[in-house]
Amino acid sequence: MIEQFTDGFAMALRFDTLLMIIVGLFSGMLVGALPGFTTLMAMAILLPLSFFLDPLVGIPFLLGVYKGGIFGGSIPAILVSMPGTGAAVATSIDGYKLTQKGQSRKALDIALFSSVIGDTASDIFTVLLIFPIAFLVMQFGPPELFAVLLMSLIIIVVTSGRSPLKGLIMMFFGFWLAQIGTDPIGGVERFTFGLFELKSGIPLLPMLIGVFALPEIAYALMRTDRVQSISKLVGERLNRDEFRRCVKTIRRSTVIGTAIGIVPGLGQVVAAMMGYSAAKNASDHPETFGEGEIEGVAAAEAANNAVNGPTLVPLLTLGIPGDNVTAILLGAFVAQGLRPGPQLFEEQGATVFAILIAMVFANLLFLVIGYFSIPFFSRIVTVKSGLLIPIVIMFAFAGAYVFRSDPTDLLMLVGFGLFGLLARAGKFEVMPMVMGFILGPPLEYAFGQTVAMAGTSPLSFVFADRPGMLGVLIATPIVGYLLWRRMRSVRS
Amino acid sequence: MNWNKLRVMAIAGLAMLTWGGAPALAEYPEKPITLVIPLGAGGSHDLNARVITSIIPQHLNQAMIVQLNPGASGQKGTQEVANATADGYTLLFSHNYIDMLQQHVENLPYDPNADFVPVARVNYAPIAVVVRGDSPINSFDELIAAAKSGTVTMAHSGNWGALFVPAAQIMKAKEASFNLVPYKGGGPAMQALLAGDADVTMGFPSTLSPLIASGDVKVLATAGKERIYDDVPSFGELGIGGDVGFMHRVVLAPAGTPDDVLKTLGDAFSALQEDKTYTRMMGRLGENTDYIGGAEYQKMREDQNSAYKDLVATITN
Amino acid sequence: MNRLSRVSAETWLTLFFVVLSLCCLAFMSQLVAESKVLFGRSLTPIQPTLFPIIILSALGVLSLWQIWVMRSHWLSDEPMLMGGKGFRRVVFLFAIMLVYALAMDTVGFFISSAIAMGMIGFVAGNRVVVQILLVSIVAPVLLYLVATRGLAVSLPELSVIEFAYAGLFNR
Repeated sequence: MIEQFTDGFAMALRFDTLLMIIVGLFSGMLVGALPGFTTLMAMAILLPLSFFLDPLVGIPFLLGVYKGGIFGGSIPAILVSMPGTGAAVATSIDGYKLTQKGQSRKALDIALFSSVIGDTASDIFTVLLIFPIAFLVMQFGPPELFAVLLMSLIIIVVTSGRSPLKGLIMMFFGFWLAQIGTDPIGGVERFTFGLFELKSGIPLLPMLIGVFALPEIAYALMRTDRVQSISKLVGERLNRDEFRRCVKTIRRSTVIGTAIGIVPGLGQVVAAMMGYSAAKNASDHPETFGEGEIEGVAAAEAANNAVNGPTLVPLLTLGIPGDNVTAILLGAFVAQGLRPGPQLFEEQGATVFAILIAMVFANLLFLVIGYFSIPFFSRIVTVKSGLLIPIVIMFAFAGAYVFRSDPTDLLMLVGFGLFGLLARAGKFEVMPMVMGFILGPPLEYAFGQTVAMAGTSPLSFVFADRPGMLGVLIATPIVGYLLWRRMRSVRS
Repeated sequence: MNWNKLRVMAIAGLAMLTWGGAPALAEYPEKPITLVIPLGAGGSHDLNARVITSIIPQHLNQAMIVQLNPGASGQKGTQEVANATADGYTLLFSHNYIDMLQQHVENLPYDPNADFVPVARVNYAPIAVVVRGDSPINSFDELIAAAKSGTVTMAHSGNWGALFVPAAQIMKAKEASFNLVPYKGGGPAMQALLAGDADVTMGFPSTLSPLIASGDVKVLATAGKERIYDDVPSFGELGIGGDVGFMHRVVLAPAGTPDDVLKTLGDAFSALQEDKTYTRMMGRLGENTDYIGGAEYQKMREDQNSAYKDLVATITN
Repeated sequence: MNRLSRVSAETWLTLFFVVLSLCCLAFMSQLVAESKVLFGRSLTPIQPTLFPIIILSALGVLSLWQIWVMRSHWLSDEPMLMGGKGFRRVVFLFAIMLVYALAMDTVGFFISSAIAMGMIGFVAGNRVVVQILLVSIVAPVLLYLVATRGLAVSLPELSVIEFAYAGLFNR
């Protein structure tokens, strides 16, 4: 095993590998920065290209696209409050506020550093402990997922915003919005009013853009007589003291993200929000979170990147992709003659380690690429609004259409824009609604699966077979209450 | 504003649009073709499509672009193609469960029989029934016996999907019942089996081979009349007859597409089968390249239609 | 009449939630279809109405509670639809966006984007005509080409314009 590791290390140190990683990182970042044009899409399109390249060049290339894309998605989230994915939402909370305060460069810098640190740490952790992690992954089934999701939602709602009551209302509203369409298990129609357009439910991306970006634009138009630009300044780069302040947060978020990566089905969104909530809760100045606190950006970004390492484990050890991205990687592996699964390490161990090590290189390279690209990106906010706003709206509409190739999504975009505006006017936070919307369906699905698994004897199932789920369920109200009390005491 | 001038401009503009909008189809294809997939990214369908669209441009002299249009169990993408202009620039890459089965389970906003014409059956995949390597069940008969005497949990990939339908057909043929637990796709279902959450599941050979080789799973039965693995009985031998457990991947075009366009497409797809790169990549994906032309597959479609109608009627009594 | 216009956004939204939850709960059977039955057993382990009932009930209870909590300030000092230049700009913005959303599929990406961008640029305060025209025409073209040729996704476009683009490249 050690032999394979050292062999792999040598194999990864190739010029063409590193070059293609750089190309991948760069293209991934650019694609990710276009909201609506998801990294997943970019990977799927570039996948055939990887077929014709050497495995040690093609697969690291795809990994580069992926990693570049994750950071790329944070760019519009921070600069124009347009998160392209649920995970980027957490980043945009503080990120955009920082941009408005004239500190966009700092925001992008800390996002970059946190992402790279979180990703690298979790990748190294995965490479070293791949088999113990594989074992852990197997312990989590639908019942555990249900319990953990429930607890995550409670934690997120309690630690967010000023009014937990309003937060809960918005979360339940988000749950309901997610139920419009077909139910996740049986596929029967719910709340569709007979309209075919609603049968596949409300799309996420137009909702995100509508509810986060459009109200900001509207408020910008409402403000002054002659609307200028988002901010005249891009601010300085992140300095050492500020970074040092965030180190503890980054460490905590990396651990949280990696742990969440091990549980199949949770994903980047939960990681980002949990990292954020944990940081806010542990801080001695939680009131700055949400008003432009770099620790907030650091917490969200480190966590959502730390998820990536363990996500690869089921793919490599069993050949089973956990999500769409790993499914594409599976295609790339397979097309190259690598057969992910139990034999992968026995037969082609060196190659696999080489690829994993190339992944770590990709992160380090990205640090350099990102660092030098940020000044260019952050300048966007200085463009005058009369030019920037039409362009941003064009991207918003294009992205909303491209998401599902459905023109009704454009109407949803505008509709959610109006709703977002109303919510802001009424001082309701939109974030719990988005969380409820994203996490509601997996929650219901996991619950349904659990009921199916329990079969005819639910009680013995819960107590005898799944003590983990029981433990988490019992802990949830306790943790929720403790957090709520702490939030209340700090607020007063 | 000079109204006469405006009227002339409007008429000229309109004429340009209508004339421009219907150029003579000199040599199909003149612009890239869109291949709509009514399923999500990353699935085996998507992977198959990526291979096809990366090689077929050499035989068509135009690009073929994949457009993912998931939603409503495949109905969204299907409807989009049903409503598209029948000029051969919008095609649907689907499979038989969506194509012929769904109409008997749901109210569809289109008619799969009248609105589509098949271009090519690209390949097919047979299902296999598997249990864990260390499971006490060693044969298909033991499985059925266990199901009749106790509870056997089967993980499947979603209602009316490629794992569910064969399971229901087996349940009907053998008069046994499994406790069906849904998962989001074949991958999670397999993971559930390996984790011990389920007793039995099904899979396609492409995903199964590494697990069989390592001994993590045992195959109890495979679809079809003939054996796929030497020591594993086929459905035909076990008394489960009919077109059970086959997923056919098929390219469909909207009804009314001109015959010469269909011919060009059909020729391109059959030329694909001779292409060495294509067969090599499909082989790597674990898929076969058993091509059937559109007209021939249409007969199979009609058979599937009546078979599924009976199936759904019987099992949802 | 005056009091009605001073009902705050907060109140309107909370009332919306109350009405929504109560209506959906009342009409649940019409809104949620029934699941099919397989061999005499339901096809779904949990009823499709289970989670909706829980969630809508919670939503109803919580929003009623919220109404009670804010009972001292149902009305705000200023009317919600305040009027004024800024407000008018936002109304125009949404009107333009609505038309953009409805038109894109019919007239194609280029035309709808160019017109929408031009008008929005004007509403956003840009008065330099050359800039508005240039951006409104060049940006959609660039994005369309990058999206369709580079990223291989499709945007709605009129046949004429698509053939024009294709012609540009087949020269």
